[in-house]
Amino acid sequence: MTALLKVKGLKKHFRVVRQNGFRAIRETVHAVDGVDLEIGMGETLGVVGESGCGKSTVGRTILRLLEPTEGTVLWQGERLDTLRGEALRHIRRDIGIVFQDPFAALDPRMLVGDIITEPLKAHKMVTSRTERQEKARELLTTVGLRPEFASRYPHEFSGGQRQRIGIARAISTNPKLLVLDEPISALDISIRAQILNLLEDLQTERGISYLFIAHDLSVVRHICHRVAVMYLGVIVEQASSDTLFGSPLHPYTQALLSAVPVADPVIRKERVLLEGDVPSPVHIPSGCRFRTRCPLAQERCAQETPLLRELDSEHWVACHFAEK
Amino acid sequence: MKASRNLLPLLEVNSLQTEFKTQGGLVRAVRGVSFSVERGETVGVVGESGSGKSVTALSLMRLIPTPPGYIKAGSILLEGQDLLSLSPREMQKVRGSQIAMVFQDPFTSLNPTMKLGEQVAEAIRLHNSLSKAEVTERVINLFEAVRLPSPEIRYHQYPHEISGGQRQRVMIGIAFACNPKLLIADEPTTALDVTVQAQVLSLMKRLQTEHNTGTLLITHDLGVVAEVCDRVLVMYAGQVVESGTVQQIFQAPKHPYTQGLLASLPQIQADSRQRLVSIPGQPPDLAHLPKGCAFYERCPKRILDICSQKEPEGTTFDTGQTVRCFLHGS
Repeated sequence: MTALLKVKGLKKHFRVVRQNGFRAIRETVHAVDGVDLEIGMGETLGVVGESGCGKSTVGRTILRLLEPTEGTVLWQGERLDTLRGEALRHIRRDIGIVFQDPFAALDPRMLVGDIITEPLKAHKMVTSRTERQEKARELLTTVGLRPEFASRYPHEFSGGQRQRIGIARAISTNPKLLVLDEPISALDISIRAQILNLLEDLQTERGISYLFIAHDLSVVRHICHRVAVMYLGVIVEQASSDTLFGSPLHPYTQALLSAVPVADPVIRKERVLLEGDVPSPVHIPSGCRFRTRCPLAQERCAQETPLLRELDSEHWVACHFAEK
Repeated sequence: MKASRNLLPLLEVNSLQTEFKTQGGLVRAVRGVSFSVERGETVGVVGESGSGKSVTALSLMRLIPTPPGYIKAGSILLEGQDLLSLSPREMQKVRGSQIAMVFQDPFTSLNPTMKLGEQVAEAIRLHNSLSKAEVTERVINLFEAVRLPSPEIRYHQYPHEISGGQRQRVMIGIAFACNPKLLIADEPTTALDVTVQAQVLSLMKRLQTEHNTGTLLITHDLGVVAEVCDRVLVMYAGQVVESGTVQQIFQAPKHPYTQGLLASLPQIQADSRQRLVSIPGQPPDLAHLPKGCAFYERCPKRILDICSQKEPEGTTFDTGQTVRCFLHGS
């Protein structure tokens, strides 16, 4: 399987200025700090982690909505991170994004039909007004909405319907990859399954690859083929969905999985409770980033940074003690 | 008097109705909700946005903004005393000392201009007459009880200096400051990450056991309900459509809505990528409720004639499980 997207050593740092009394202190937020990823054709790669781990920044940097600080992004073998102007515009029709908040992602003053066909207009993929309207009706049908919704405004729709509109817009240019940034976490529980099923149908019909960014592990388990777990800007474990959820090796993944409440009162499990909070991405702990909360941490973890190693076939872990 | 009080349930809510007069019409947010909470028991309220779960909680505290909202009918008995008959001043005394509340958003429920210790001290001072030193000591003890690291330093810090999980710990500290009999927690962990959620839930459970507090836990997360609740109320369109013990609700759900919700959850233990069963459509508009059962439009098991015409009354089984559906009696 040739990789559709290949990310190597991706870093994104933000410079911030903090006021301490009258003194301005310059600091660097290490949002993404060296991430390698690969997504194949028709594959769903999940990126999970807690807030502030850098998962959304990864998605945005790949799309070049943010400029990477360091690293390379290869799109079908072509450098995406150095593209400019027309060439970048051209490649963007192949990559779409769906945002978390369906209330903020749609322009309230535009008609739904215009919203979902705007990418087509921007990329000059439609020539006439009639063609654009025809396309809008077709897209709405694809995402399970009625074609006559094209002449309505976003405020007339519920959260789930708006997310369908957002998806219609993202797939309008027939992209090969969609970045889905928490696409269902703002939706009600009975609506979430509808959207997950729609995403799965679109993948089966069109062979789209997904980069699925989420914090909800059961959803990731359900929809992703492979999963990468992020902590403080780096990937700590990566494996196929079944392997990662079946036999997690990194202590952070284990703690994360054990913290997820299971909707079955029979399985009231004993938890591995993590102490404390995620450290600030400004002052990253030396050595292993997870050592301040890790139940296995030893002297060595403060000195040596564990590298991502392939412990089993296609099962990558960044921990000194993952074998035990 | 004391003995007879203990025989009464801690909280008993009967046919509560809360409405809001809005420009879009009369919104019937809570339509006849009845339930009870015993001492030391955790009752979960699950439902989607607009199901009336938060309005129920605010009604118990009598914190419904009036106008546009008002409690139309029903009774709320706390150890036999009807809270709806209390004067605003008497109700003020009940809030905080007998019923406490923890809200979803720890970012907006603390005062950003006040030191953390002062905010907790305020809650203690309102309901007790203690000296300044005694209050400070109680605050430090509370901070220790909610496992805030270095409580003496935290006392003098402001909300923006601590993390979301720690803020929620402070909120729980305030809630337990006066040993309430009933704790109402409205989505207490929704804004938190899973690892922090697990910490906060185990903290609440511990304090609740220590103080024998009855808890009403409002959440949309069925996982949280399964882990911490003893009994569950499932709400839909302003009504309790099903209630029972966690085992009954999760293993033998009777209402088609409960069944649909449970089937639509992706399972973290499942091995295969099975297609999720989804509930079609969306919840009804509470200002324009359909005639008949509110779930009719989305129900896979509807019986055409009755369900669209009449509202089901509700049936109670011998096991204590209740369900509001024509498939099970009236």
